[in-house]
Amino acid sequence: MRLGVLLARAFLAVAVLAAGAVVIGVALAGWPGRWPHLALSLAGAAGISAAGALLLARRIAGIVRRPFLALRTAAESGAAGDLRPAADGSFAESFETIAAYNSMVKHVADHLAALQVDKSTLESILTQMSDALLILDPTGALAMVNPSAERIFGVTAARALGRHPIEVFHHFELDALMRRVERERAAVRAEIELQYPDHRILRVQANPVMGPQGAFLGSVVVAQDITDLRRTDEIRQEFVANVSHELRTPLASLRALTETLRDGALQDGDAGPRFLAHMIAELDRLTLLVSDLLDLSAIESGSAHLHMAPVSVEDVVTDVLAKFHLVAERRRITLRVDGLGGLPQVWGDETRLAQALANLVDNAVKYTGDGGTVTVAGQDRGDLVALSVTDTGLGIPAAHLSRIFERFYRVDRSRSRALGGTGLGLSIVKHIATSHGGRVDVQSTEGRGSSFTLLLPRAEAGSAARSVERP
Amino acid sequence: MTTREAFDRDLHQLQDDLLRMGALVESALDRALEALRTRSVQLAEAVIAADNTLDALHLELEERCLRLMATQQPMAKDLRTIAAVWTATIDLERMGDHAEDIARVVLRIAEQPLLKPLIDIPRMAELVRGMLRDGLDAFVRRDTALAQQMAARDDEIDHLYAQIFRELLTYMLEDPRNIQRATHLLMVAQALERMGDHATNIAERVIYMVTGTLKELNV
Repeated sequence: MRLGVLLARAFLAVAVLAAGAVVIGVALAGWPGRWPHLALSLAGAAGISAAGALLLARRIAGIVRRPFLALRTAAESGAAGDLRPAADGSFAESFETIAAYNSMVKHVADHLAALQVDKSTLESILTQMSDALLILDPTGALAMVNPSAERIFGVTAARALGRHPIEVFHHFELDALMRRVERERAAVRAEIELQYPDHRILRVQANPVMGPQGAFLGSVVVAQDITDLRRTDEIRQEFVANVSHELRTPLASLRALTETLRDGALQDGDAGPRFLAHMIAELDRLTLLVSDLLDLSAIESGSAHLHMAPVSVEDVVTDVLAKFHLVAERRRITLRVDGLGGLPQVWGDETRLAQALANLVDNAVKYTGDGGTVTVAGQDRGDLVALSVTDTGLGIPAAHLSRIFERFYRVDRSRSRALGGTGLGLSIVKHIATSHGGRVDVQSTEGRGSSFTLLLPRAEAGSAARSVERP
Repeated sequence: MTTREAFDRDLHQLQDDLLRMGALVESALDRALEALRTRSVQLAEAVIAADNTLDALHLELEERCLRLMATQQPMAKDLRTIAAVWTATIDLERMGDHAEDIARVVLRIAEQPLLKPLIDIPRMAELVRGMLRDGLDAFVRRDTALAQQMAARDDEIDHLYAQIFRELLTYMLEDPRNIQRATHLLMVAQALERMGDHATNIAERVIYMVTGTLKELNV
């Protein structure tokens, strides 16, 4: 950068020397002697050459400096963040320098662009990841809080950054975990329960970030929300426990009956046939339970193939009610139908719909006292067709209403078993309804009766939706 | 690190530990209420066991406050800060004890159905939790305005307590067999009411720490 100035100074020196010659020439001219003309002309030549040298010096200096100035301008603007090649300086020897500089600029610019892409990729990953991510600096203050962490912990990044985790999360175990990472410089893993803002169970993994030479650069904490996972796990465990229990009860009873028969009851003309009848009843219960379980698992897993077609609700109701006439008559229960004529067809699997309705009617009849009424009513509700089964029975206490569709959930265990239920009926109804794109609702008043309503898509709406799904 | 920096760091650590105590109290309150709702003996016992951690932290903090006062001989605001931390730890420790009281009630009533659905008690607990959080937030941010608001919320808690008291009284008058279960719920409500008072005390300490004047918020 200073080279041009240096060159200019060198030429200036030559010019000064030339000027010195002029002075000498003039002095000689003034000296009366033999070569005044020579002295004068010498002085003149020296003067001209001095002026020429000055001009030349400035010009050369200019030529030499230009590319370096261009380089300087480019470098300065680069330092200020605007990386661009230097303008061509056209001084032969500096071409290579400028070319080298320009290639460096291109390299750095490409590199920066790549970094920018990397950075935005990373940022979008961190922003969009469903796990909460916290980054702590070496002093233990929060340096980053991603949106999932904001949501899960109920905090805002703006208020969290730069503060210690205990100030932000108010959570003892979470804070203790982070401090342990800092202290031990080792990964820590734990499960943490949040009560605020929602009840959640988090699987937290915290890692130290170590720099070269073992410098501690902070820690990274990732928290995965496993609340649903845990809940599913609990449901599964409950289910296994329930199934085992349900299977064991009839098995124990069968075993007791068999042993009694072996120990002599077989020869007893009165007890023998009675015990055998008991055994058949227990076997029926086992068979029913197993077939309900298989049905449920098939519908739930979606492996049960539904033969979808337009179905006449009235036909289904007539078929199902036919099976209940005998028992209804015996217990003086009135079976009524209402509003079924002129009801639009629904889109569904006739066998499954009949099964769902049969389960509802079966429950209604079971829980209605002798002399009561069970009403099956239809209603056109636009896109949906409502089919309700209303009884005048015991009703369901409000506290149980939200849970009765759960597998094996019973309002009154002993009563339900005495009536021969498997505890799966309503669960099957619910799954049949949802697999049809419908749902089942319940309304009940204790002591007054219950009303279950199946809501099913009508045939036109259902088939239209399907044809949109598969063009 | 200069002496001042070291002292500031000590003060900050003191404050963080105060927040840790607060977090323990909050979790004890949440879990005690959850135990009451589900009548879970296991959860109630966990709350009772966790109170030991709180007590240990309280003793440790108290000792550190004393040591800081003895070794640093703090003046004015620094002295007030340490004093405020100290008194706040006492309030937090008491709040933890009240959460434990609720857990002990749960142990006694776990076998029986609740007298009535819990409505006002969870609402009270929610208010207490909010006051605890805001009280400590006000402490950290030296926010006297936030601390001032606590008085109004404590009034709300007192109001709910009076309401619960009247309601449970009608249950008791209606049928003497309700007396035992109603009394237990009343004990829970009272524990929450006390917790609200302690949270208000913390707010008073914030105002004292910042302004140097002791002011009774709970009048």
